[in-house]
Amino acid sequence: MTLPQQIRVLERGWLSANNIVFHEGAEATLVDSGYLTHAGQTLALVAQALEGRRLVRLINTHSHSDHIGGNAAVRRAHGCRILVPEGMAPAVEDWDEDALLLSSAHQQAEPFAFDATIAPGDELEMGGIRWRALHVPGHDMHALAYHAPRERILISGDALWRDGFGVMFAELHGDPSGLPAQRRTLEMLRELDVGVVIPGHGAPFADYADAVDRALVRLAAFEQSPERMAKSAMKALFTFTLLEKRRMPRATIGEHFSQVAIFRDVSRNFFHKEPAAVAAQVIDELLGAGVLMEQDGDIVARGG
Amino acid sequence: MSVASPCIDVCRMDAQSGLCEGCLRTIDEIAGWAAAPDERKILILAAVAQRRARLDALPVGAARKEVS
Ligand SMILES: [Zn+2]
Repeated sequence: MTLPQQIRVLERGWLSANNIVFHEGAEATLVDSGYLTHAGQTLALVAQALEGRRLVRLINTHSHSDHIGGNAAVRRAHGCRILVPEGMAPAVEDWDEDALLLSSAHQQAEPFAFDATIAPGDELEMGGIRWRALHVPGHDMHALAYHAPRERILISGDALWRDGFGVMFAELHGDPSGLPAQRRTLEMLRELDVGVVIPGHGAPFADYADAVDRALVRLAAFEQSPERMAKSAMKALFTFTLLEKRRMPRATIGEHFSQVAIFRDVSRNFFHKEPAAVAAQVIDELLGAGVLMEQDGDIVARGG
Repeated sequence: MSVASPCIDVCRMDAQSGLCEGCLRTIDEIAGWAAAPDERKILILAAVAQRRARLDALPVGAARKEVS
């Protein structure tokens, strides 16, 4: 599985989404900018991948903090234009921290200005390749993926990973349109001709049909059991929190679940339990799976 | 694809050592990771393990610049 020379994938982790640099002669385009607290490393990686080119555009797949957190820093460093999916534009313009899922999930990003929007169906050129913007609602209702039909490459954001897809935020916030949207998205994606996927998280991968099938199996399980969907989301979101904080005293996590809207609301609406009880269960499962560890009364992220 | 990235989401470069404080890779190693063949990834992981061992051998509080 190889990508064209002019596409440089900067594979990050979970707190920062992958960044993609496209060489365009003396200029370059970047897709997604990582998490706010990683902006320093993002700038260094982008500078390396530019290989002397001038960064002229930054394009986002969707509005989440792990994809837009470095936008302001990248613009300060390069003076590039920023293009965002049109559906997320109002929330960015008003810097609506609830709509951007920042305050409600205890995440950070820095406000930024954008210059233009991209609509579903729009065609754009990146790295001398023609891409079509595809609406991929579900994980994020306004998200776009970018598909190069000739080169058979898909930039999938968090709509499709090698093993799954991003958390169903709409559903968690009580809007039942998230899962049906994700189903339509996966069924649309299944019809695409794709040789390589550059996902929002994880390494680029080639086994496209298998990945779509795995995502559909996961989705079916969520459709059958909202609790299962919510449990998986709580684990993912709490892991994200710990990746940023690195460690939290175990005794404070119940309180954290009571104070942060998404943990509190999901505890009550999906599990009909007090947030602290859900926190205890989430921690036990993450410790059991080896995702998190316990040290001196603290819950710590892998690698300390 | 079979060699997993050592990133642990710390993602902060140490100015003195030039290494990521989390995964102990250089910017070059992180930037080139996705496109690197497995053999190169394995070499990077071996270098990271060596850096980790040298770092662990340092007295607590010793400057990280000893390791590079
Ligand atoms: Zn996302």
